[in-house]
Amino acid sequence: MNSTEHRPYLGFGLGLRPDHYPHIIEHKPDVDWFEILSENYMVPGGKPLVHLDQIRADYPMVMHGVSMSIGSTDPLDYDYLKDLKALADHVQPEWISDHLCWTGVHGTNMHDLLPMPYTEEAAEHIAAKIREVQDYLGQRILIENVSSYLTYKQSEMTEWEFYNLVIEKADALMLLDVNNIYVSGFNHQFDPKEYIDTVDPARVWQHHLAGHTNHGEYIIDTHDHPIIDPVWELYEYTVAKLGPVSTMIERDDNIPPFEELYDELQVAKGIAQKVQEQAA
Amino acid sequence: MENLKQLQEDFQRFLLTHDHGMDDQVIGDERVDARTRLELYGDSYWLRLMEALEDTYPGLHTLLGDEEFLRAGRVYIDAHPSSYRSIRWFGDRMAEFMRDNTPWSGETILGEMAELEWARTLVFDAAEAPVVGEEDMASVPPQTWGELTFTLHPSVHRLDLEWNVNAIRREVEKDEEPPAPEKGEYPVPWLLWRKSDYQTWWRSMDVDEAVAFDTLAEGGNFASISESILEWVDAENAPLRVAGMLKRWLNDGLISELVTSNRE
Ligand SMILES: [Fe+2]
Repeated sequence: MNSTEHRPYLGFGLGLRPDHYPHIIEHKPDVDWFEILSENYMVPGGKPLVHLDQIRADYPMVMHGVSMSIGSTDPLDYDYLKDLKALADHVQPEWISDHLCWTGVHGTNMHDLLPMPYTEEAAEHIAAKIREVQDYLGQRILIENVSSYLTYKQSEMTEWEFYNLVIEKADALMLLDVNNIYVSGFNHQFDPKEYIDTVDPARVWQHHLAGHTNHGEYIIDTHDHPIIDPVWELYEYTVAKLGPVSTMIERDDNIPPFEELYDELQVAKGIAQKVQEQAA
Repeated sequence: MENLKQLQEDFQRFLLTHDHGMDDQVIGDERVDARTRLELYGDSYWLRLMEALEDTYPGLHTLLGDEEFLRAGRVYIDAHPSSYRSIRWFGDRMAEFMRDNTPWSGETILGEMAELEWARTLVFDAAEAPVVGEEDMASVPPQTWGELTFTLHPSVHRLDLEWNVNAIRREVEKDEEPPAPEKGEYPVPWLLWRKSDYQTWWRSMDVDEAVAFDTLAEGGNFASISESILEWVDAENAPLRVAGMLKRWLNDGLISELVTSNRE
């Protein structure tokens, strides 16, 4: 699988956040698509779901989850998957994604994207669970690389070797977060470009871009700042390497007015255009 | 997958207890040692749950003050780790926690505020349901009213509050100086619900209205609701009084369905 011909392309999107509902509903901004956080809408009812439907009527959407805990040694939570599927039936997203991580064991949720050890054993385990989810949902899912702050002694390979192995084994797709590669590269002293060089372009269906917090010795992936220049440069490298991939900006804290994120998205668009013009 | 299982158990135990079982399973370097790397996860675990409690319980936060709220949050987080897929549900046992644990149990306003604030979250994202109005009631033949029962809108919550927690919470939400805590002589019955404009409403009730409402909520029919208020009104006038209350409940958007007894 190495042709990008059949890769769907949505253009440039933003994460849908409650602060921006009124602006989006009133002004219908020129954004190609929105990514929603699945768990925020897995509730019985109320205003968020009403807003979701209103906005969905005007924009394509993708669903992004944080609680599948696909890497956990707990069995899959079918109550969760049932609700995820029901939401997907309702939203009809272009695709569904979650993370290359685990969030807890013994039924406890630590509400964090905890890193996997990069071992054959873990790859085997997580790939089998991804396949199970894909069978249940009736579609392939996108799995996102997370930012991490530690390396386990157990690990036998690099993060990118692990990620590629899992996606290959599961016949799944990638949500490649360019900021997360940068953050993990800084925290673990690897070259982010080497990471990007190894992925199969045909499997990469989406990018995340985001800001972070640099503490000097390490970077925390906080999604509360604008994107920094080195991440823009890495994005440029990524587009040159992988071609046009649906791209969105995640902002989860310190949320600015919609226009500010809109402007930031135009930067991403400009970079992608520049790369394509250079290639043409 | 034994290694993976062990590692995840060890890591989770570290997050919950800050023990040292993970220290030699992680690679440190000259920039950041293993323990510091682990603690980045330990700190963010605690911070994230604390943020969730702050979102849900701003009134409790105000009553306790920053320092005590943090302290209570830490004890709560240790006592009740999340088993929820969405962090929105974390904190569900706060009222009970405030009532059962010293020193907070000594101040009953704390449990009441927590109860109110949790109820508000439930009102906010309760299931959708239709509401019926006065005109629907008018279409039910009066001779069948006695057997009529009612389904409440899923967002409706009933609380009995001794303290002025509603007044305090309202000011906290507006970022205004809240009134001083004040305890009434008797608990006041309150209704909380979501109207069709998706705003959360609340109002207090007189005790006879509350008794009638609770009878309705428990599935009582019109006749038994009328009987429930005989302490305050004579038998002849009770149905009329209940009809008046019902009119208000219907106009408030509290009732989702009128259930006639002859339904198959
Ligand atoms: Fe991301």
